[in-house]
Amino acid sequence: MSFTRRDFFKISGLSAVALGATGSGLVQARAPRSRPTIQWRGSAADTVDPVLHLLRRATFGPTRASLRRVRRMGIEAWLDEQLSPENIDDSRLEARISRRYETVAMSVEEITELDDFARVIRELQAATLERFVYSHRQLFQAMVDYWSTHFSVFMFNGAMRALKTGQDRDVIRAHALGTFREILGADAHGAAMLVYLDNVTSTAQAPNENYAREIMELHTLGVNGGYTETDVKELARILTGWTVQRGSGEFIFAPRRHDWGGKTLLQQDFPAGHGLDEGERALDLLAGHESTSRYVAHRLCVRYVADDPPAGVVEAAAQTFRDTHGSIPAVLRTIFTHDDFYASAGQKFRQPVQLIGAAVRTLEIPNAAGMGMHRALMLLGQPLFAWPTPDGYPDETSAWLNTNALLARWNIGLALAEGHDKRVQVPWNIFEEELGDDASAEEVVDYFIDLVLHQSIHDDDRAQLLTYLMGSDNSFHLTDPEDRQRLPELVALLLDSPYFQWR
Amino acid sequence: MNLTRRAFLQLSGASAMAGGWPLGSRPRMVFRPAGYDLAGDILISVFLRGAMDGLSAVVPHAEARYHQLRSSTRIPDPDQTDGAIDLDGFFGLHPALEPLKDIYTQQDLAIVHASGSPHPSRSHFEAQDFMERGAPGDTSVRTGWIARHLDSMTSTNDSPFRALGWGNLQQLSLFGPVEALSMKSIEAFNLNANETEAARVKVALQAFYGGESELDTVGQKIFSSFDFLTEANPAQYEPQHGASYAETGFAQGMKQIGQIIRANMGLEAVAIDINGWDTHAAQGGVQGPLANLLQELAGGLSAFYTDMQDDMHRITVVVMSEFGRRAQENASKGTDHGHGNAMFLMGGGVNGGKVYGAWPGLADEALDRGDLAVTTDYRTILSEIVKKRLLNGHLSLVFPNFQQTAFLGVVEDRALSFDYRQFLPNIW
Repeated sequence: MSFTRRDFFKISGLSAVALGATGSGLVQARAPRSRPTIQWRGSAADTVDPVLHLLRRATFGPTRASLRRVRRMGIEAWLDEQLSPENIDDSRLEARISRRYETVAMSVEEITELDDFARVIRELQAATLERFVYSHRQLFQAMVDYWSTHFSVFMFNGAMRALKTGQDRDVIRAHALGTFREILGADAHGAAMLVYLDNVTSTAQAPNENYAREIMELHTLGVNGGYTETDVKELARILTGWTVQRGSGEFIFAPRRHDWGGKTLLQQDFPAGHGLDEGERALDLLAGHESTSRYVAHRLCVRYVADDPPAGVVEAAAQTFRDTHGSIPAVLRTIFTHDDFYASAGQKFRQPVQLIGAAVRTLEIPNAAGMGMHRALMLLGQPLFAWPTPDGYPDETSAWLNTNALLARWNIGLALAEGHDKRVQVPWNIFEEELGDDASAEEVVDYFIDLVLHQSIHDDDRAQLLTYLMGSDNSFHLTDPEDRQRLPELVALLLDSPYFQWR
Repeated sequence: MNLTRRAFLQLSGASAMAGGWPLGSRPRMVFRPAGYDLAGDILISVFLRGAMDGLSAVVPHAEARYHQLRSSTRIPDPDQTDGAIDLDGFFGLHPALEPLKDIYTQQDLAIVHASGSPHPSRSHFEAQDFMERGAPGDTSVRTGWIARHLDSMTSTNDSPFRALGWGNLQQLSLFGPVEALSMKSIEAFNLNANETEAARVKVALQAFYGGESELDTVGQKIFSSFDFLTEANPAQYEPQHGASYAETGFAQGMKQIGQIIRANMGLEAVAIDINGWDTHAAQGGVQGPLANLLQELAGGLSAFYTDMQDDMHRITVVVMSEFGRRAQENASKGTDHGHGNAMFLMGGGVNGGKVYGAWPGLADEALDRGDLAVTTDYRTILSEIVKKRLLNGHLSLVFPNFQQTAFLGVVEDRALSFDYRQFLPNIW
C-alpha cells in the first residue's frame, strides 16, 4: 500500500492563503488579490447567484439548461427532487451503461471467470465518469463520488480488481442517500473493504488491526475522535471472524477465527461469548458516537462548503445527523440551505474529476466517452479508484494547487477544446448556429464567457479574450476559417482561467 | 572519503597559485560555471511512503531474536545463500540493496538504525505529516522542514528551480514561504497549444494570471520556469561514467534531478518519493514486494552516485520513512506498523561505512509496545545535515521546539573540510 500526505491547511477565502495558521512565525499570509477574481452577473462583486453557486457544488457542473430549469423551479423544489433520486428517470443513461460496460453489473464470480481485470477497471472508471456527467440524478452522483472517497479502496491490487465493482454498486450506489449506519454496515460486510484492510486474515490468535484502525480514524470517529490504541486493538478483536467466502466474495462470519473473549470498546463493556452480533453492536456504537456526527459533518462540509468550513454549518449538519440518526439527505439539506454555504461561493478549488465533469457538461459535449474523459483525469493526477491509501483523494486546495498540476490543467483544457480526443468533441456547429454568421467579436466572446462560466468576468480579462480573438489583423468573422480556428483556444483560455478552477 | 571526488576550487585561490607552476605542469582545475553560487550541499530528500521495514532493509543478523520474530520474512545469515550482505559483523543489508554495498565501503553511505520520530502515532497520514513538518506532535506547525530551512537562510538564489518537488502532488516538507516547483518530468513541463496560436495563447493566459492570489503566483511561476528551462536545457546531459538508470519512476527521477544539477539551474533542495512500502501481507523475504522496492531504491541511488560522482562532494541524499514495522511478523506473512526504522545518508560529505545509532535490541523488554524503539530522533540527523552540509545554523527555526542533542557525526562539516590533495594532484 502506498501513501501520501494529507494537508490540513486553512484557506481563509478565495484569494488569501494563510500558509501557516499559527505558531510558526516564519510564515506570512499572502496579500489578497488587488482586483476581484470573480464578478457575479449583473450585481455587485460580493453578491452571489445562489442557483449558480448551488449547481457548482451539488452537481458535477452547471449548464445553461440546468440553470434555467432550477431558476424556474426554485432551490427547495430542486433539492426535494434530487434527494429522492429513485423518482428521477435515468433509464436511458443506464441502458447505455449496461450496453457499453457489461462488467459493472457482474458479480465477483463472473468477474473472476472473465479474467480480464484491465477491462473491469477500465469499464468501471468509464461508466463512473459517464454517470457523473450525464445522469439526471446529479446530487446522487456527487454523493457517490463523496462516498467513494470516504470509503476509498485501491482497485489495482490483486483481489481488489475483482471486488471494487461490487463495492461501487452494492455498497456506495445502493446507500449513497440512505443513512450512515446503512452504508457503514454495507461496507463492513463488503468484500472490498474487508480484503483491502486485511480483516479477512485477522484471527483471534493474530488479529490484524488495519481495518479496526481505519474504520475509526477515517470512516467514523476521526483521528481526534477520542479513541485510544487500546480501542483499536479491542475493535480488531471484535471484528475477528468477519470475512468473505472465496469465489463469491459473500460475507461470512467465521466463528473459529473469532475472539470470543470479553472486550471493552470506547468504555463500553462487551461481554464474552458474543460473535457476529457484537460486531454489529460495535458498528452501532461507532455510527452513533457523537464524534462521528462531527467527523462526517465536517468531511461533508469540506467537500461542499470550504476547505476550512465555518463552525456554524458544520455544527448544524452534525446536529441534523444526530437528530435524524444519520440521515444523509437530511444532513445535505441542512448544508445546502445554510447561510454559511451561500457565503462560500468560489472558495472550493476544483479537484480534477470536478474540473473534467464541469468542462464536459458546460461545453454540452454529447456522448463523451468515459475512457476519453478518464485519460484526461489520469493526466491531471486523479485516476479513479487509484488512490493508494484508505483516506481517499484529498479535498483541500493545497493538495491540487502546485505548478505541475496547474500546468496539466492548462494542457488538458487546450486538448479538450482543440478536440484532440475523437471521443470527446465540442459541438461547435451548435454554437456557431446560435451565434449566426454575422456575430461580432464582442458577441462571440460574451457568448463563450456565458457558456463556460455563466457569469461575467473582469473587464481586463474580457479585453484579453477580445484581443486574442481578433488575431493579428485585429478583425473577426465567424465565416472566415482562419478566424474560426481561434475559437478552440478562446474556449481553452476560459477553461484554463482562474475563474474555472474554482467552484 | 571518496577518492573519485573532485573538490570545487576557490577560483581566487586557484589563480593565485596557478602563477607559480612550472610550465606544462599546471594541475587540472574544475571551474564552477557562472550562475548559482551555493554555499552548501544540494539536498535530496527521499521519502519512502508506507513505512519501510527497516529490520529487513538493514538486518540485525547477529541478533538471534530477529530470526525468531521473523519466521517467514527473515533474511538468512550472511554466510548462507541469499544471505544478508554483512556490513559490520552485526548488521547486514538486504540482498536487494546490494548496489549500496560499494558506496558503503567507499564511506559515502551511512545508516542510522533505530531512528525515527518520537511521536507514538502509528497512522501513516499523521506520521508522514509530522515527519515532513519536522515537528512531531505539534499541530500548530504547518510548514515543511525543508521550506523553513530554505526560508531561514539569507540567500540570493532566486531560481524558480531552487526547491523542487518531484511528482504529482507536492511534498509537505516543501510547503511554506519558499515557492517550490513541482515537476513530473523535464519533458512534460511545457504548454501544449496549437502551434500557430501558441505564442498568443501564452500572452493571454499569462495576463489572466497577473493577480496576487496563490493561484496567480503558481501560474506566474510556470511561465518564468518555461523560459528558464528552455535556456538551461538539462536534457542535453547524458549519464556519465557508465551509469545506467532503470526504468523505474525513482531511477528516472534521480536521473533527471542529476541533469538539472548539471545544468546549473540553482537547484538547492529536492524531495522525491517512492510509494508502496506498507507490506501488511505477503511481504516476502529475500524475494517479494519489499525486495522489489528495495531494489528500486538501491538501483536509483547507486546509478545517481555513479553518474554524479564529480558532484557528490556537494550533494547529500537522505532517505527516511514515517516509521518502521513491528518486530514480530503477523499472521499474513507481513508486518504491521511499528516505530524505530533505518535512515540512509549518501554523499561525499557523509561519514559513511558505518551503522550509527544506539541499537536497543529486540528483546521483549527493549521493545516499544512490540516495536523497535527509537534511540535517535530523526531531527538530530537532519539537524546535523542542515548545519554541517547545508551550512544553516538556524536549527531552532528549522526544527522548532526541538531539544537539540549531540550530533552523531554522520556527516563532515563542509565549512571545515577542504581536501588539498584533490586540488594539487600533479605538483609532487
